[in-house]
Amino acid sequence: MWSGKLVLLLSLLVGTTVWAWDLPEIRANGVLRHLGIPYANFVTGSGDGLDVEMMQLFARHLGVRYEYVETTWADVLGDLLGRRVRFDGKRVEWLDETPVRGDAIANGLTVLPQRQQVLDYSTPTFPSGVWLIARADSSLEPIKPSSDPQADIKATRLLLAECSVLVLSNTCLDPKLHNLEETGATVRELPTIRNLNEMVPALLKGEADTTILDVPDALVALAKWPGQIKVIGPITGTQDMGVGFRKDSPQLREAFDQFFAKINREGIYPRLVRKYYPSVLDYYPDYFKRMTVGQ
Amino acid sequence: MDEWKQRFHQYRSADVAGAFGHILEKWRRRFHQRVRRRSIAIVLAGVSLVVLSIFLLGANYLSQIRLRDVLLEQVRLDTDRDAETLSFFFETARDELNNLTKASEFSAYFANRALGMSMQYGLRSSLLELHRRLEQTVRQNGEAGTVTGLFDWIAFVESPSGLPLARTGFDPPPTTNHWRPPPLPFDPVATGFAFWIPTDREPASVYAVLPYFFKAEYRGYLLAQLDSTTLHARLLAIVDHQNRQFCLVLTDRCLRLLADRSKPAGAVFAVELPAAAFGQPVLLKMDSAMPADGRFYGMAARIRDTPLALATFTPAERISGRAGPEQLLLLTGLLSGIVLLGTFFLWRMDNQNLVLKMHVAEEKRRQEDLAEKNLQLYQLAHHDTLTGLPNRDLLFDRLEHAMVRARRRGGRIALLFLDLDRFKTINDSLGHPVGDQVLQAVARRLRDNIRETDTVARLSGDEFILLLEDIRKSDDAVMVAEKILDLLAQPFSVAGHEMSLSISIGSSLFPEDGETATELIRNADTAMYRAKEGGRNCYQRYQRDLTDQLVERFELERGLRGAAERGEFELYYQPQLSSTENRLVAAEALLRWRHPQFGFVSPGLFIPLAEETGHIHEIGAWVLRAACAQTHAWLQAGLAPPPIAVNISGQQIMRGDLPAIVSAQLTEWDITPEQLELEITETSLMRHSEQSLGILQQLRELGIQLAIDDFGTGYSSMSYMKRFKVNALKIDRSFVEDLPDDEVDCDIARAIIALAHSLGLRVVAEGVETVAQRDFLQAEGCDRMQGYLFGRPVPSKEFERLLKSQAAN
Repeated sequence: MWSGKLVLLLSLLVGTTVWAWDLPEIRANGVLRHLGIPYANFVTGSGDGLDVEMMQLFARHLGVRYEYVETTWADVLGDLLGRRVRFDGKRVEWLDETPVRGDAIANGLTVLPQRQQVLDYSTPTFPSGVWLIARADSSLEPIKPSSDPQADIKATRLLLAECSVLVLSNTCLDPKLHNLEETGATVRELPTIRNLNEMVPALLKGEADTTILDVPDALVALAKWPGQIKVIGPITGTQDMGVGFRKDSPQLREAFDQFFAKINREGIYPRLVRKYYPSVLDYYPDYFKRMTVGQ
Repeated sequence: MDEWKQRFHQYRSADVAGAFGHILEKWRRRFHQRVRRRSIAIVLAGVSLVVLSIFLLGANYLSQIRLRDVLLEQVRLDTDRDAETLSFFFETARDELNNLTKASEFSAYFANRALGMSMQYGLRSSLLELHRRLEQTVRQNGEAGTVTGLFDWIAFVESPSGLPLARTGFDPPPTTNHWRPPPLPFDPVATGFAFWIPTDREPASVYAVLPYFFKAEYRGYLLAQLDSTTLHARLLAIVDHQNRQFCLVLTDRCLRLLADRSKPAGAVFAVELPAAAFGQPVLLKMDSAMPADGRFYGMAARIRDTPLALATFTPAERISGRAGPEQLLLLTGLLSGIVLLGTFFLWRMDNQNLVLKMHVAEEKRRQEDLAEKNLQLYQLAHHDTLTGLPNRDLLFDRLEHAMVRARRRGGRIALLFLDLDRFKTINDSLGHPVGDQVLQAVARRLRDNIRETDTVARLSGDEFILLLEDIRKSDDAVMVAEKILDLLAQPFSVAGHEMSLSISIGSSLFPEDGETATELIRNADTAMYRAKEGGRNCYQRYQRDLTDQLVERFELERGLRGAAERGEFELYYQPQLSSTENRLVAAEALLRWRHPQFGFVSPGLFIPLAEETGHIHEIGAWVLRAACAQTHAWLQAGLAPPPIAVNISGQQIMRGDLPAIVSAQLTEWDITPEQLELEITETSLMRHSEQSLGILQQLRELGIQLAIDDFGTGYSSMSYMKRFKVNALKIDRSFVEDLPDDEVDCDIARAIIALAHSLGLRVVAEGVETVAQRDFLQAEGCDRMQGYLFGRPVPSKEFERLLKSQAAN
C-alpha cells in the first residue's frame, strides 16, 4: 500500500520521466486508462464498442475506475509508451518523448511483428486479416478462391498492378507492412483520412480504385454499403488482434489474460462479439470455439 | 192387519214369469241403445285424439323446422366469421414474408453475389446475415411450436438448384446441405404468393411460398411452414366456440387439415365436400372411415385471400335434436295408429260386455226383489198387525238407537206415554171390533200428525208411545202433548158411532228421567198415571220425586192409621198476646206427629194426606179432645189457662157433626165454651161456603169463638164474611214477614185490620218475630199477636210453667 502511494508520489514529481507503471501502480492510482481510436465496431466513438465494453469489464475486474483516452493511429503508441515511435520496415525508430496517457491499447489492434518490438500483446482477442476492397462498379473481378491462401494472396496482389489503393500509415493498413509498392499499385494515403472508418467513404467517392481493409471492418462495410463495394481478395492471411501493453507492465498483461480467459469461459466475451460483429462468430466459428475452451 | 194381508196376497198372485220376461225385454232394449251410444262416443273420442295428436305433432314439426333453420343460419354466420378471423392469421404470415424479401440482408447477399464475391471472401458474411434475418423473423413472430408462433420455420430455396440457401432451425450455411424442401407442385413464379398444404405428408402442415426476385431476376423462393401448434389451437378454439364436432382447413374441396380433440394435431383427412356446402350448411352422412361417424351439417367458408377454406362439421342432432322433424312425422303416424287400434279394441270389448251386463242387471233385480220381501217380513215382525204401527220390539230398538245417537251428540229425547181414557167402556158397550177400529183410527190420526223422524208405537191395548227425537227443551214435549190432546179431542166416527175420546199423557225425558229404555217407558207410565189421577185428559211430566212421594205417602198413610192410639200425637201451645196490654190472652194448640221412622212429620205434609184418606176426622177429634182435656187439667190444677185455639179442617165442617162433637167435649171436660176457639182456614171455608154457614152458626150458638185462619191467602167473598159471624181474622204470616219494610204488605196489613175492625172482628197477627213488626202492628191497631217474638210453640208441660209464672206475676 505504502509502496503504491510512494510510486504515485514519485511519478508526479518526475513528470515525464519513464517509470514502470504496472498493475500495482494502476491499483494504487485507482484508474485504468484505455487508449482507443474510433474504429469499426471495436470503438465506435459513441462511447461503446466491443473493446470499450471489454476494457470496462477489465477495470471493474481490477477494482479500479475505467477511463477512456481517445487518441489517433499516429499518437497511439507514444501515448502508451511515453515516447513516439516510427517504423521503417521492420526497424524501430524511437523519437521524442511524450506524456504517457494510457495503460493499454484496445481497438482492434492487429498483432504485427513490428509492433511486437515495442509492445506486449495479450492473448489474441479477435481474428483479422486484410482484404482488398473495390467499388462495385470497378473493373476488378474478385479472385476465384483456391484451397491455398497464399495463392489467393498472390492472385489478389497481381490485380493491384494498375490500381490505386488507399492506405493508412501506422495502422494495420500501413503500406509498408504489406509491401504494396512492390505490386505496382499506386499507394495513396490521404491526409484528410485520420481514421480507418473513413476509408470506404473515400473509396466510394472515387479517391482511389481500391482500398485495403481489415476483415472485421470489411464485414461491417459490406453490410453497411450492400452492393456498393466488393471484396476482391485477401492481402494477408488470417491475423490476430489483441490488447497492447507496455513491456514493463507484465503484471497488467498477465492480469488481462486471466481476465480474458475468464470472460470467454463464462460466455461473456462471445456475447459481446455477437453484439458488435454478429457474422464473425459464424464466419470464424473455429477461432472462437478455440478461444472459449482456452486454447 | 188387513192392509198387510192384502199386500201379501197381491204379491203372491202376481204373474212372476210374465213380469220377468217383460222386464228382461225392456232392459235388453235399453242396453242396446246404451251400447250404440257408447260405441259412437268411443269412436268419436278416438278420432278426436288422432286429430289432436296430428295437430300437436304438426305444430311441433313446424317449430322444429323453424328452429333448425335458425340454428343452421347461426352455423353459417359463425363459420363465415371464424373463416374471416382465421384469414388474419394467414394475412399476417403473408405480410411477414413479403417484408422479409424487402430486407437489406437479401439484397446485400444477392448484390454481393452478383458482384462475383466468393463465399470465402465476404459473401458468406452476407449469407450469414440473411440466415440471421430468417431466424429473427421466426423469433419475432412468437416462439415456434407455441400457440403464439406464426412460423415453424422459414427457408430460402435457391433457383434453379432447388437447394436451400438458408433455413432456420439449422446451423448456418454451408451446413444445411442435407435438408431438402418438399417439391412444389406448382411454379412459384407463375403462382406468386401461395399457401400450400402438401397432400402426401402427415402431420399435414400449411406452407407459404413466396418467390424472390433480385433486380427482376428470379432467384428462388421463400418457403415457410406456418406454426402448426398455433393453427391447431385456433381451429380447436373454433370447434369449442361453435360447439362443433371438428373443423378443417381445406384446399379446394378436399379436406386436409383436421382439428378434432380426439385426433392428434395435423391429422390428415380427406373428404369431398359438395359445392353446395360452400356458403351454407349441408347435411352429410359420414362413415367410420371419416373422422366421425354419423350425420353432420358441414359447411365451408373461404379464407380470404387464400386458396383455403374453413370447413366446420356440426353433429346433426345438435341442430334438430335427437328426434328431427322426420322422426316427429313418423311418431305422429305411429301415435295415431296406436290410438285407432286402442279405440277399436275398446269398442269391441264394450260390445262383448253386453251379455255380461244383462246378467248382472238381472241378478241385481233379483236381489232387489229379495230385499223387498225381507223388508216385508221385517215389517210383519216389527209392526203391530192391528194398527200397522211399530210394536214394542221395534219401539225398544228405535229408542235405544235414539239414545245412542243422543248420547253421542248430547241431544235429548222425549217419550210420551198415551193411554185412552175409559177405553174399556167402549169395548164393553160397543164390542171389541169397534174397539179395534177406534184404535186404528187413533193410530192413523197419530201417525198422520207426527214428524217423520218421530215414532209412534202401539204398546198394548189402548197404550201408545210417542218417541220424539232431537228435542231442544222439555217444553217441546209439552207442546206435542197438548197438540195430541187437541187432536184426539176432535170427534171420531167409527162404525156409525160419533164419539169423543180423551187421553192421558205422561212424559219422560232422556237423559234426565232414565238411563235405559225400560226405565224411560216406566217413568213415562208413572207420569201418565199421575195425569189420570189429576183428572184425566191431561198431561203430566214425570218428576223423579213422584216415585219417592208415592213411597213416602204410602208409609205415612199407613202410619196415620192408629197413630193417636200409639201416642204419637202431641199438642204444642203457642201464646197469643194482647197488643195493648202485652199479656197472654190465648194460645193456639198445634198438632205434632212423632213418626217412629221419619221423626217429626210436618203438619203441612200429613194433614192433607189425612184429609185425602179420611183420617182427618179421627185426628181432628183427637185434637179437640186433647185440647179440652188439657184445659180441664190446668183448671183442675188451679191454673188460669187462656182460651185454647184449635184448628179445624174443612172436611170436619163438611161432615156436619162438628157442633155435636164440640158440645160433647165441653160437657165431658166441664169447660166453658169461652175456653175454646176454633180456627178454620179461609180456603176451606170458602170452598165449602154454603155447607159451612150452618155449621158455623151452630158453633156460634154453642158460644164457641171462631177465627178465620190464613186470612188473605184465599178468595173471600165479602157477603160470606158478613154472614159467617166469626169473631176474629188471623193475618197470614206471609203478610207479616216483610213488615214494615214492604209497603204493599204494610198496606195489606192495614187493609185487613181496617176490614176486620169495620166488621167488628178481632185481628190476630201470626208469625211476628221482630220488634219492628210488633211496633208496626201495634201502631196499626192489631189486637193480638202471635210469633217467636212472644213465644215458640211448646209442649204442655212447658206451657204450664209459663202459666204458672204468669199467675205468679
